[in-house]
Amino acid sequence: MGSTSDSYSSSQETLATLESNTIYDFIPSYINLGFQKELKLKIIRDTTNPVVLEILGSEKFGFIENKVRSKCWHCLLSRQLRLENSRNNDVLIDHPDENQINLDVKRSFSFVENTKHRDFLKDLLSRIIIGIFRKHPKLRYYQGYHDIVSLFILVWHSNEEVDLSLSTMILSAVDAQFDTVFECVEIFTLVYLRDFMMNSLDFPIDQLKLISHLIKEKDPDLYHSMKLDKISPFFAISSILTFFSHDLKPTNENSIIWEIFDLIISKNSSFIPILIFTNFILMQKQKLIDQINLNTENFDNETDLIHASIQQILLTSISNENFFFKIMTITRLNYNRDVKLLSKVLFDSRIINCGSPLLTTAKGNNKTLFDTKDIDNLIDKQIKINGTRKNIRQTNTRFNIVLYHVINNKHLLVKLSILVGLLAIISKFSNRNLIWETYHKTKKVWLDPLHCLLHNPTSYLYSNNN
Amino acid sequence: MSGNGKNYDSIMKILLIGDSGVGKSCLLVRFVEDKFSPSFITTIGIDFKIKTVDINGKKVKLQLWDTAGQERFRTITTAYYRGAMGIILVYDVTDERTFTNIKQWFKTVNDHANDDAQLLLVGNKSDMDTRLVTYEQGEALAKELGLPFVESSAKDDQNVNEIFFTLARLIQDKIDSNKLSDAKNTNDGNVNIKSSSSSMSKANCC
Ligand SMILES: Nc1nc2c(ncn2[C@@H]2O[C@H](COP(=O)(O)OP(=O)(O)O)[C@@H](O)[C@H]2O)c(=O)[nH]1
Ligand SMILES: [Mg+2]
Repeated sequence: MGSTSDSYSSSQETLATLESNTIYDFIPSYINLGFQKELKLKIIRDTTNPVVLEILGSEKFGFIENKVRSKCWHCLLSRQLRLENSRNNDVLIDHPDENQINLDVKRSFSFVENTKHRDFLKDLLSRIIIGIFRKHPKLRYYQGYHDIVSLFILVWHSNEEVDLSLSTMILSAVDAQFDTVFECVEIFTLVYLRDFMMNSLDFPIDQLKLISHLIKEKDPDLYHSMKLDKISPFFAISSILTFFSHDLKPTNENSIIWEIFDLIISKNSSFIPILIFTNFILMQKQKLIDQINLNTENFDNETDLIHASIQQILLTSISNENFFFKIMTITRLNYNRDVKLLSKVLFDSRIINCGSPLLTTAKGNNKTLFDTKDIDNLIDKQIKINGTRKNIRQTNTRFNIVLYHVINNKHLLVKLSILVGLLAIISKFSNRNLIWETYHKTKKVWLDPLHCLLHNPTSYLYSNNN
Repeated sequence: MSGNGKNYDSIMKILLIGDSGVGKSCLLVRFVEDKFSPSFITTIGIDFKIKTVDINGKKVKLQLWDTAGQERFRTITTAYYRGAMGIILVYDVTDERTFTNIKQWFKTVNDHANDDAQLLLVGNKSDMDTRLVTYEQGEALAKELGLPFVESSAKDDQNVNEIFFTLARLIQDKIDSNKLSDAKNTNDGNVNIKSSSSSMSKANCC
């Protein structure tokens, strides 16, 4: 463990400050982790004040166990968005993404060993996701959303014995629980995930740029070693789209992914996943640079090289959960400072769309209770911006494809140059040529500086000096 | 870094593309880890795997890039087409739509991949009795597009190794014939990625 933190502690933070976690300062160090958790659990259970819950959830251990967590999430989320008509089961129109949803539901909960329980969870997953999209038909499904919803389902359904005996329980109790899970997923979706649910991935790709930006601010050398000035950090897309629930599976109650979501919900902040990914890179700096050097000869281009290197390091880091707990500590500790570092890009260069959760509903430490109308307005605004963006991108892509083919195709390049040459010769010899005439009439020196220079060097120089 | 214990003779970048759910990831997992699980996880964005194989007595390191099938990921996945020496286009023999979409995938390849990339068409899930696309239809499409064709099953481990070995051999043949025609490219028998494609050397110059 020591080696992983060394490189990072040398850059400003010292381990001493890392370990100081306000609420634990009064707990004597000889009290072991298990007992600390027990103590915290007691405090959470007795807390009725949501503001205190927010603080408890954003600190070490988060909400500790799912039985308590479900209540805390529900309490905090319903203070972030007030849903009207939460019971809404008569929408029957299919959503265009239902085919994709079914494909992904089939591939969910692969880490749940009991097949009966897995089927139970998949059925629930399908009902919730389809319910969300039928209720909010303007939103589009993306692969990865199912990982987030799966996580929510497990908060309420991680105990297989209880779930498998559900069929014998009273229906109204089952229904009430379904409604609570649904409500929490719905609020979380509308408050945190809107950027990802347009009809393109442009907004999440924008969010990825914040990772590059933060690394540039905090470690310029690493920024250059990782060629982040040249490549898009696509390597982080699955972590950002799923808030790490794709990489870090909730295999048991102590899995790190719970703490990540506890932190996001308690802080009401969509910045958390971006900060976690950045801290992962900063803390693995030396390993990453070594890996990149080792790989350099083997890869065709920088996008491939960096992606493969990061994926290799990420995989080894995931298998070491202690390391991720350390990342969480640093993320909590530097939260305010890092968000401040980002605010410059957020407001000056406008990388992020103005309806984004990062700037509105999940910008962190929010004190506003939004309602359905606010969200509707934000969604409409975002759809509009995204539509314009998508058009621009498609035109650019088409242009790039043509350019790419011209550059890569020697024959085409030769033909094109011959064509240009021919055109030049034709225009030279034909005085009645349209191009030639407009050329002369306009007498704009900048249209062809070389031409002017050859014909009349003095006038060209003269006009340039003016 | 210079010439240190290289345990392979050449590297090939290979890409798997096709609609979501056709079995790209299952084929890859079967090939690399010799496993099959019906609830194997969804691919989000791009995944990278490596496997070293033996082709004509040479150790070839295969760089395998698995892609997400959902349309919206295309902006991201096409960024990884560059420099691919082999591209596997996969459809599901039990799902006609994935078969008709192959033409769209073929176009995407033409737009984003190197011109000399070796393609291969694969009809997967041949084990299923709910087949809707016949072998002949697959073969006809392959002929029309000028691609070699294989039917496979990741589940029953039918033709999975063949997919990757056929592709690797075709690429190796291309490299060898390129080397014959291009006498300058003789770096002590080591065929590496950089000498095999014109656009790659360009990408490496900076
Ligand atoms: N019967 C059968 N099912 C398969 C086969 N390959 C994949 N599948 C199923 O198809 C689903 C989707 O496969 P996956 O590899 O995730 O598809 P991808 O989206 O193309 O990567 C898997 O969950 C498997 O259940 C196959 O060869 N035979
Ligand atoms: Mg896949």
